[in-house]
Amino acid sequence: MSFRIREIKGLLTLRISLKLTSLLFILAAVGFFSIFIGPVKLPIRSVLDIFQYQFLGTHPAKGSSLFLDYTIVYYVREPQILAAITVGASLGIGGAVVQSIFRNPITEPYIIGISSGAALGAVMAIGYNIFIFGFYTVQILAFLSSLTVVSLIYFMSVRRSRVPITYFLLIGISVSLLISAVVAYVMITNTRLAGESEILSWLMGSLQAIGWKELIPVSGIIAVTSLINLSMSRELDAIQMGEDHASSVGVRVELVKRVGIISTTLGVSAAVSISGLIGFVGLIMPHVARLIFGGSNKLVLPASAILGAIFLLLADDVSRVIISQQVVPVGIITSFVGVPVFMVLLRRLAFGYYEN
Amino acid sequence: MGIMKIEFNNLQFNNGRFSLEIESMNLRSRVIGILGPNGAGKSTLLKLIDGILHPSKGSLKINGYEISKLEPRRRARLVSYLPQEIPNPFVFKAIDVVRIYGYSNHGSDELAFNALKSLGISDLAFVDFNHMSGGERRLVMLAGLIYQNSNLILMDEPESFLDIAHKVILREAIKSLVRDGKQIIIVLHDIGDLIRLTDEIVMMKKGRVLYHGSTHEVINERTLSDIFSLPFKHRSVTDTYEFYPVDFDE
Repeated sequence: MSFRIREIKGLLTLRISLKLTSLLFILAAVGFFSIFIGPVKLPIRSVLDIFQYQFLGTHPAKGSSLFLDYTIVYYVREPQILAAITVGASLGIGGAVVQSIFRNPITEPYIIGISSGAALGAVMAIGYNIFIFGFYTVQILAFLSSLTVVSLIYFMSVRRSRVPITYFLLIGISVSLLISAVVAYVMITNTRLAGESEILSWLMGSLQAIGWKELIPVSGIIAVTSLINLSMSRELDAIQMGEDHASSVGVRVELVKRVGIISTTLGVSAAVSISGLIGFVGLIMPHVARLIFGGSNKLVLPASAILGAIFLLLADDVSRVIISQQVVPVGIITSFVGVPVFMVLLRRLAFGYYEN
Repeated sequence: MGIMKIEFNNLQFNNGRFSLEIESMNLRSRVIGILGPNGAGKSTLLKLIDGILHPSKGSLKINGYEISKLEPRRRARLVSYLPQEIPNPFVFKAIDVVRIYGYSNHGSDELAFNALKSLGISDLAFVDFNHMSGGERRLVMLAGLIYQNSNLILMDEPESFLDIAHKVILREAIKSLVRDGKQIIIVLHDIGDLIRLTDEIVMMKKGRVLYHGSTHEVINERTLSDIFSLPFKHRSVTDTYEFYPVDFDE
């Protein structure tokens, strides 16, 4: 009997690692494919030459007109693709963590104040022409304002040195609404923002014009916070059974909640600061991951990250080509494409929890 | 594992809505029962013993350790808790649920599977937890407790949701846990079961312990009437018919 169990288990782990590996493979393939998507057509030959130059340091044959293509690949497409991957991964894993902590399938990172806080920072920076942090004032103010609003909500939710999740959720939603009202007020009254497409595309979410300079620190923050989140998968599993349960089996519940919320806030705020408010990814990708892998966070967390990256890459590709001569904010595409895809997936795969 | 001493010393708990006070009490039996009407504080008492609720005043020591101050994983190796409520996680399989209980002892997946097998429910291992009946879920959680493998096991009305066959499994599991040297504190509403299973009884009402002692001394018409504010009468059941599985009450 026990040898049969091992056999079954072996098959299961094999199937699971196959699934994860194939997800990674899909991500790499989509990433490569995305280099070619955009208003300027790039021949495959020159992209391969550019890769050869970038990764192997070999110079392409003399006389080829690679300069323009190289500029497009290195300064436009590559940072945009990497931004889609890091932002998508951060939103996906953040969604999985927040849903586990709140034990609520319809929560997402934005709900704890990240989106309204970041929007406030961005609107202030653009609307009042603030330049205190130079060229990156919008990003840095969005990031800091997001952190401030989440901390405010967190500290307002402390009761008897604990943070009850329902309390936190309700305070998060109401404070977010208040701040969104302030954002709306500034947008209506501030003449600089009238008809300003910069703030509109920020609020809808866009990966356009992201450069290496902002991408590198943001990716760093996202990598560190994602690793922290990944390391807490067992604790998050236990918390999904209820906080008393988790505490009873030996989890330091309040500590895990605090660390999870801090690292998710840092990671998602960093992502949002460069991408704006891209919806749908944080809410839905964890569910797609659960539909494929089951509920154990050991798999749900990495799968949500990879799926978020793949999905945002695809959405960004669509946003670049759907209307010629114009780039649609990717946040619009994520909902337009994502919702029907998710509906189909839900109908085909959902059972158990989703049918209750 | 010998029997651990559970000492209450001027323990007070108050969360604004409910208060519980136990001046001085020592529990020292293998199987201890808790009886009382709804709202007596039975679950609160179990959570205090489990260390997931902290006393407002006084102390609660298990084998000399102040339980609420123990490092959480160490506490979880000492005490485990089967709550009354059945949780509703997203999409865990039974084996995922059992695994969660092994947080403190780093048990292997095989041991988790064996815990399910020991209750005869290994066929549920890869079934969605939320797709099971209340009784099956309760047994999966019991398998989790077996996997957690603590010395002291607290059970809060474990028989609720269970049909007769599942009750037999529960009963057998309790017996086998006792054989393995575990100590059990159990909240039950069935007085007959309490008498059959336990050696020591704590009778509670409105956050106070009214009676405490060995089961046969403490349970009688007077104490029951007092606790439940209802007249109780003892009678022999030999003149009535009763149907029960044969291994139910050996």
